[in-house]
Amino acid sequence: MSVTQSFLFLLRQPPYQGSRDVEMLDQILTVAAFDHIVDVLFLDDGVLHLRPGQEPERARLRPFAPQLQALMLYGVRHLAVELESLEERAMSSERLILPVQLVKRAAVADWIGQHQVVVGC
Amino acid sequence: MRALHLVHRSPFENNVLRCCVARAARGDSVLLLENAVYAALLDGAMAGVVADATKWLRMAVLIPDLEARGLAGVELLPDVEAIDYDGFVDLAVAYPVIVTWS
Repeated sequence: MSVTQSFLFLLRQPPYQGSRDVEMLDQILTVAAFDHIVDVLFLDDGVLHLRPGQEPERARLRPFAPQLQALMLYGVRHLAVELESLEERAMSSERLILPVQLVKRAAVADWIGQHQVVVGC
Repeated sequence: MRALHLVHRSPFENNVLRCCVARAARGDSVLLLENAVYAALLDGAMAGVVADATKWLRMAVLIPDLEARGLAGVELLPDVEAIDYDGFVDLAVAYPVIVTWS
Protein backbone atom coordinates (compact mmCIF):
# COMPACT_ATOMS: atom_id res chain seq x y z
CA MET A 1 0.00 0.00 0.00
CA SER A 2 1.37 3.38 -0.82
CA VAL A 3 0.71 6.60 1.02
CA THR A 4 0.90 9.85 -0.87
CA GLN A 5 3.31 12.32 0.67
CA SER A 6 4.23 15.84 -0.27
CA PHE A 7 7.84 16.38 -1.30
CA LEU A 8 9.75 19.61 -1.70
CA PHE A 9 13.02 19.52 -3.62
CA LEU A 10 15.33 22.44 -2.90
CA LEU A 11 17.45 22.64 -6.00
CA ARG A 12 20.57 24.51 -4.91
CA GLN A 13 23.43 23.26 -7.09
CA PRO A 14 24.62 25.01 -10.25
CA PRO A 15 24.57 23.26 -13.62
CA TYR A 16 27.51 21.33 -15.09
CA GLN A 17 28.83 19.77 -11.88
CA GLY A 18 29.51 16.30 -13.20
CA SER A 19 26.41 14.12 -13.09
CA ARG A 20 24.82 15.90 -10.14
CA ASP A 21 22.12 17.56 -12.19
CA VAL A 22 21.07 14.28 -13.78
CA GLU A 23 20.98 12.52 -10.41
CA MET A 24 18.91 15.32 -8.97
CA LEU A 25 16.40 15.08 -11.79
CA ASP A 26 16.26 11.29 -11.39
CA GLN A 27 15.30 11.72 -7.75
CA ILE A 28 12.55 14.18 -8.58
CA LEU A 29 11.08 12.17 -11.42
CA THR A 30 11.21 8.92 -9.43
CA VAL A 31 9.21 10.45 -6.61
CA ALA A 32 6.74 11.96 -9.07
CA ALA A 33 6.36 8.60 -10.83
CA PHE A 34 5.06 7.12 -7.57
CA ASP A 35 2.28 9.69 -7.53
CA HIS A 36 3.58 11.72 -4.65
CA ILE A 37 3.00 15.45 -4.62
CA VAL A 38 6.19 17.10 -5.82
CA ASP A 39 7.15 20.75 -5.66
CA VAL A 40 10.51 22.08 -6.83
CA LEU A 41 12.08 25.28 -5.55
CA PHE A 42 15.19 26.69 -7.24
CA LEU A 43 17.43 28.34 -4.63
CA ASP A 44 20.93 29.79 -4.48
CA ASP A 45 23.08 28.54 -7.38
CA GLY A 46 20.23 26.28 -8.45
CA VAL A 47 18.60 29.28 -10.13
CA LEU A 48 21.47 29.29 -12.66
CA HIS A 49 19.76 26.35 -14.36
CA LEU A 50 17.04 28.78 -15.42
CA ARG A 51 19.30 31.25 -17.21
CA PRO A 52 18.43 31.52 -20.91
CA GLY A 53 21.00 31.31 -23.69
CA GLN A 54 23.15 28.55 -22.21
CA GLU A 55 25.38 26.87 -24.80
CA PRO A 56 26.95 23.96 -22.93
CA GLU A 57 28.14 22.36 -26.17
CA ARG A 58 30.65 25.20 -26.53
CA ALA A 59 32.52 23.83 -23.53
CA ARG A 60 31.81 20.20 -24.46
CA LEU A 61 29.33 19.91 -21.61
CA ARG A 62 26.10 17.96 -21.73
CA PRO A 63 22.96 20.07 -22.20
CA PHE A 64 20.65 19.80 -19.24
CA ALA A 65 17.94 22.32 -19.98
CA PRO A 66 15.93 19.94 -22.23
CA GLN A 67 15.79 17.41 -19.41
CA LEU A 68 14.73 20.09 -16.99
CA GLN A 69 11.77 20.79 -19.26
CA ALA A 70 10.64 17.24 -18.47
CA LEU A 71 9.65 18.41 -15.00
CA MET A 72 6.62 19.94 -16.65
CA LEU A 73 5.58 16.61 -18.15
CA TYR A 74 5.92 14.48 -15.06
CA GLY A 75 3.27 16.04 -12.92
CA VAL A 76 5.43 18.28 -10.76
CA ARG A 77 2.89 20.49 -9.02
CA HIS A 78 4.73 23.76 -8.41
CA LEU A 79 7.94 24.98 -10.01
CA ALA A 80 9.19 27.99 -8.12
CA VAL A 81 12.26 30.16 -7.81
CA GLU A 82 13.46 32.36 -4.99
CA LEU A 83 13.46 36.00 -6.04
CA GLU A 84 16.52 37.02 -4.01
CA SER A 85 18.63 34.18 -5.44
CA LEU A 86 17.85 35.51 -8.93
CA GLU A 87 18.66 39.09 -7.97
CA GLU A 88 21.99 38.12 -6.39
CA ARG A 89 22.98 36.60 -9.72
CA ALA A 90 21.76 39.53 -11.83
CA MET A 91 18.98 37.44 -13.35
CA SER A 92 15.56 38.64 -14.40
CA SER A 93 12.50 36.66 -13.44
CA GLU A 94 11.03 37.61 -16.81
CA ARG A 95 13.66 35.75 -18.80
CA LEU A 96 13.88 32.17 -17.54
CA ILE A 97 13.81 28.89 -19.45
CA LEU A 98 10.91 27.47 -17.44
CA PRO A 99 7.63 29.03 -16.32
CA VAL A 100 8.15 29.30 -12.58
CA GLN A 101 6.38 31.12 -9.81
CA LEU A 102 8.33 33.63 -7.74
CA VAL A 103 8.81 33.08 -4.03
CA LYS A 104 10.37 35.60 -1.68
CA ARG A 105 13.11 34.48 0.70
CA ALA A 106 10.93 35.29 3.68
CA ALA A 107 8.35 32.78 2.41
CA VAL A 108 10.74 29.85 1.93
CA ALA A 109 10.48 28.71 5.55
CA ASP A 110 6.71 28.40 5.09
CA TRP A 111 7.24 26.36 1.94
CA ILE A 112 9.54 24.02 3.83
CA GLY A 113 7.06 23.71 6.68
CA GLN A 114 4.20 22.79 4.37
CA HIS A 115 5.81 19.60 3.09
CA GLN A 116 6.30 16.21 4.68
CA VAL A 117 9.65 15.49 3.05
CA VAL A 118 12.20 18.10 2.06
CA VAL A 119 15.20 17.12 -0.05
CA GLY A 120 18.13 19.44 -0.55
CA CYS A 121 19.88 18.68 -3.81
CA MET B 1 5.59 22.56 11.09
CA ARG B 2 9.06 23.11 12.45
CA ALA B 3 12.17 21.87 10.69
CA LEU B 4 15.55 20.52 11.71
CA HIS B 5 18.30 21.76 9.40
CA LEU B 6 21.48 19.72 9.01
CA VAL B 7 24.60 21.56 7.88
CA HIS B 8 27.78 19.58 7.37
CA ARG B 9 30.05 21.72 5.20
CA SER B 10 32.72 24.04 6.57
CA PRO B 11 31.57 27.68 6.67
CA PHE B 12 35.01 28.63 5.40
CA GLU B 13 34.58 26.51 2.30
CA ASN B 14 31.16 27.75 1.20
CA ASN B 15 28.23 29.79 2.47
CA VAL B 16 25.76 26.97 3.01
CA LEU B 17 25.27 27.84 6.67
CA ARG B 18 24.22 31.38 5.74
CA CYS B 19 21.97 29.95 3.02
CA CYS B 20 20.32 27.68 5.57
CA VAL B 21 19.85 30.34 8.25
CA ALA B 22 18.35 32.71 5.69
CA ARG B 23 15.55 30.21 5.03
CA ALA B 24 14.95 28.89 8.54
CA ALA B 25 11.87 29.76 10.56
CA ARG B 26 11.76 30.98 14.15
CA GLY B 27 11.75 27.89 16.33
CA ASP B 28 13.62 25.70 13.87
CA SER B 29 16.82 23.92 14.89
CA VAL B 30 20.13 23.92 13.04
CA LEU B 31 22.60 21.14 13.80
CA LEU B 32 26.24 21.72 12.89
CA LEU B 33 27.97 18.46 12.12
CA GLU B 34 31.06 17.18 10.31
CA ASN B 35 33.10 20.17 9.06
CA ALA B 36 30.33 22.61 9.96
CA VAL B 37 31.32 22.29 13.62
CA TYR B 38 33.97 24.98 13.02
CA ALA B 39 31.12 27.50 12.85
CA ALA B 40 30.47 26.99 16.58
CA LEU B 41 33.90 28.22 17.74
CA LEU B 42 33.76 31.27 20.00
CA ASP B 43 36.82 32.79 18.38
CA GLY B 44 36.03 31.74 14.83
CA ALA B 45 35.20 34.09 11.98
CA MET B 46 31.62 32.78 11.84
CA ALA B 47 30.92 33.54 15.51
CA GLY B 48 28.92 36.68 14.75
CA VAL B 49 26.66 34.97 12.23
CA VAL B 50 26.01 32.03 14.52
CA ALA B 51 25.52 34.16 17.63
CA ASP B 52 22.91 36.23 15.76
CA ALA B 53 21.15 33.07 14.68
CA THR B 54 20.93 31.78 18.25
CA LYS B 55 18.66 34.71 19.08
CA TRP B 56 15.83 33.14 17.16
CA LEU B 57 16.98 29.64 16.21
CA ARG B 58 18.08 26.69 18.28
CA MET B 59 21.68 25.97 17.26
CA ALA B 60 23.39 22.71 18.18
CA VAL B 61 26.75 21.13 17.43
CA LEU B 62 27.67 17.45 17.42
CA ILE B 63 30.26 16.60 20.09
CA PRO B 64 31.84 13.56 18.38
CA ASP B 65 32.53 15.67 15.29
CA LEU B 66 34.17 18.33 17.49
CA GLU B 67 36.30 15.69 19.20
CA ALA B 68 37.31 14.13 15.91
CA ARG B 69 38.74 17.48 14.81
CA GLY B 70 40.71 18.24 17.97
CA LEU B 71 38.11 20.69 19.22
CA ALA B 72 37.11 18.87 22.43
CA GLY B 73 38.44 21.54 24.78
CA VAL B 74 37.96 24.56 22.56
CA GLU B 75 35.55 27.24 23.70
CA LEU B 76 32.25 27.29 21.84
CA LEU B 77 29.64 30.01 21.49
CA PRO B 78 27.64 29.89 24.74
CA ASP B 79 24.22 29.63 23.10
CA VAL B 80 25.19 26.72 20.84
CA GLU B 81 24.19 23.49 22.51
CA ALA B 82 26.71 20.66 22.28
CA ILE B 83 24.94 17.33 21.84
CA ASP B 84 26.00 13.70 21.44
CA TYR B 85 24.52 11.04 19.15
CA ASP B 86 21.61 10.44 21.53
CA GLY B 87 20.86 14.15 21.39
CA PHE B 88 20.98 13.95 17.60
CA VAL B 89 18.36 11.20 17.69
CA ASP B 90 16.20 13.25 20.05
CA LEU B 91 16.36 16.19 17.66
CA ALA B 92 15.60 14.02 14.65
CA VAL B 93 12.43 12.61 16.18
CA ALA B 94 11.31 15.99 17.53
CA TYR B 95 10.98 17.59 14.10
CA PRO B 96 8.58 16.42 11.41
CA VAL B 97 10.76 17.83 8.62
CA ILE B 98 14.53 17.46 8.25
CA VAL B 99 16.41 19.45 5.62
CA THR B 100 19.98 18.56 4.68
CA TRP B 101 21.89 21.50 3.22
CA SER B 102 24.62 19.98 1.08
